[in-house]
Amino acid sequence: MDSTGVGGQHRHARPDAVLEALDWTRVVVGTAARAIVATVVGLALWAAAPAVLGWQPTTVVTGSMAPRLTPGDVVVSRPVPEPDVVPGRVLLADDPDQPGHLRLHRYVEARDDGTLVTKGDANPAADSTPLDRSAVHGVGYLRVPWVGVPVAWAHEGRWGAVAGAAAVLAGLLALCAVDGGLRRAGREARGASAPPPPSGGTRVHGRRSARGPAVRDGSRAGARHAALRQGGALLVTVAVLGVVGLVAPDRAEAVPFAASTTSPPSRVTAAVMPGPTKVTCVSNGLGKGVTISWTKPNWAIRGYDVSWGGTRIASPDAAATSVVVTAGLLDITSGKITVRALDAGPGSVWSADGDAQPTVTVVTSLSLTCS
Amino acid sequence: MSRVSPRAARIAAWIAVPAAIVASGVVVSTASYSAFSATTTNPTSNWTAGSVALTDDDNDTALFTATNLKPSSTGSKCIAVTSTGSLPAVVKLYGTGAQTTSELATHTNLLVEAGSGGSTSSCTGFTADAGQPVFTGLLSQFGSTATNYGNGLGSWATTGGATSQTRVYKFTYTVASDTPTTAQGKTASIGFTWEAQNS
Repeated sequence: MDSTGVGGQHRHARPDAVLEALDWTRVVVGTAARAIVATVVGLALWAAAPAVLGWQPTTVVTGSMAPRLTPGDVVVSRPVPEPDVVPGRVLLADDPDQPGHLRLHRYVEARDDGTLVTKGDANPAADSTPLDRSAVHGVGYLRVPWVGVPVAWAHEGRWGAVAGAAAVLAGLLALCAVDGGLRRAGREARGASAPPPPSGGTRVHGRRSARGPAVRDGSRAGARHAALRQGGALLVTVAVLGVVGLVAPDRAEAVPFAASTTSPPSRVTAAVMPGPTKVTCVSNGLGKGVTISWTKPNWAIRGYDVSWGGTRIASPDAAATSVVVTAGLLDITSGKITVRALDAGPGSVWSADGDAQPTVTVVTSLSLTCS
Repeated sequence: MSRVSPRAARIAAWIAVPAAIVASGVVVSTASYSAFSATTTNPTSNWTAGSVALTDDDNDTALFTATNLKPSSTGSKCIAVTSTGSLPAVVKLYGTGAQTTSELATHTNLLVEAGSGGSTSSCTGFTADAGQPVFTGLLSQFGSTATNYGNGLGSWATTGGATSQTRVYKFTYTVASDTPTTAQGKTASIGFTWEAQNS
């Protein structure tokens, strides 16, 4: 049923008290919606505007700094001179562990090498990799709660929640205009020289009544104006939030949670190969040289190298336990005899020398002595 | 209750804006004060659950303590690492306290494989994942290249959530056959650390 021209029925169905209560409800709801939207826009501006000064807004996406910083907070960090970077401050810095990410953790202590140890308040241990001073972007300065929550949701892939938040915001924007008709009524009454309300109190009641014949012509332009203004306000709000939405999460990054488990030091130790024992030298008399004898070490060997004064003079096999040295083998007058056992491992170059190195001296071409 | 005058409606239209500006300023300054005013460390005891957490099954004993190694000596050991965190994370392996410059370390090959099955008590049942091992090279290289999370090895991405995830790492060391004789009696040691950072 068209409500036009049935004002009498209207009044009859809705007595003034009810209509007034309805109007006040619209004012309250509209005012509350505008307050919420303005607060959100204000917070968003706090989060984004400092970027103009070169301060850096970032969105906290993990709880590793809880309870002081929680996911969804936007933290604005301010570049500060180096002396102001002191332990206890919350630093924003390039994360050495995750290239391209930012770390927002509390500066705990400086190390001797000049690097900075950081720790998440909620992390059980300090970050394993300290920061270089040059990696520090700034010191946390402003904390804007809640505005980054959609960014944190997006980071977690909760797009449904993001869409829900957008829908709620759209709903609030719509509610902002719910009492627009009440304001228009006054302006139209003045501006369009509309006849004063009849004594019966024909109420201009929102859009519905604006279609009534009494105010029809005047209200068309007024409504258009109002719609334009409301559309403008809507556009401004959306634009501000859009810009903020682009700036605030620009470098939205994790403050990383970390945990580790360590296996105590593992150790590998090489064996020490034993050499031949009881290396002795016995002179065999004129013309018969000397006999070098030894005892096989307790080790798998493939043979021995016997050298005299550093020159190899014999390569007995693993079963041998002695070798005879005679003069004239080499142009040596005096030198130490070394008996070296060779490791039997395939390809191994390990060796071990005997426990004694007797000196053999050529007295004449036929006579050698041990000492 | 009187009717809503257009004047009242217009006042109501804009009163919210200054109120909101004040409100947002108060909120930001209060929040900033509580978060940043403290210039000394504030230890917090109520560290939130819901995070990343990592355990292993070694009961705090070394993965291996091998002695009397000779050229071609070899051995292997397994360790099961379990992620119980609620957040998705990437787990990496690196060495800590590495003493890996001796001639033994420069001639000992280390192979680290990730897979499933087996535990710290026995590698029986271990099956390595397809593809490249986590590390293959000299123990000295491990000690010098994998020193922190940033240059850590492997890319085990845990999904977080309610169920824990376990991965078994198998370490195999082999003393090279051409290890010089001067390596006799030398030693090398390194701690193995797995660190999870949420991604």
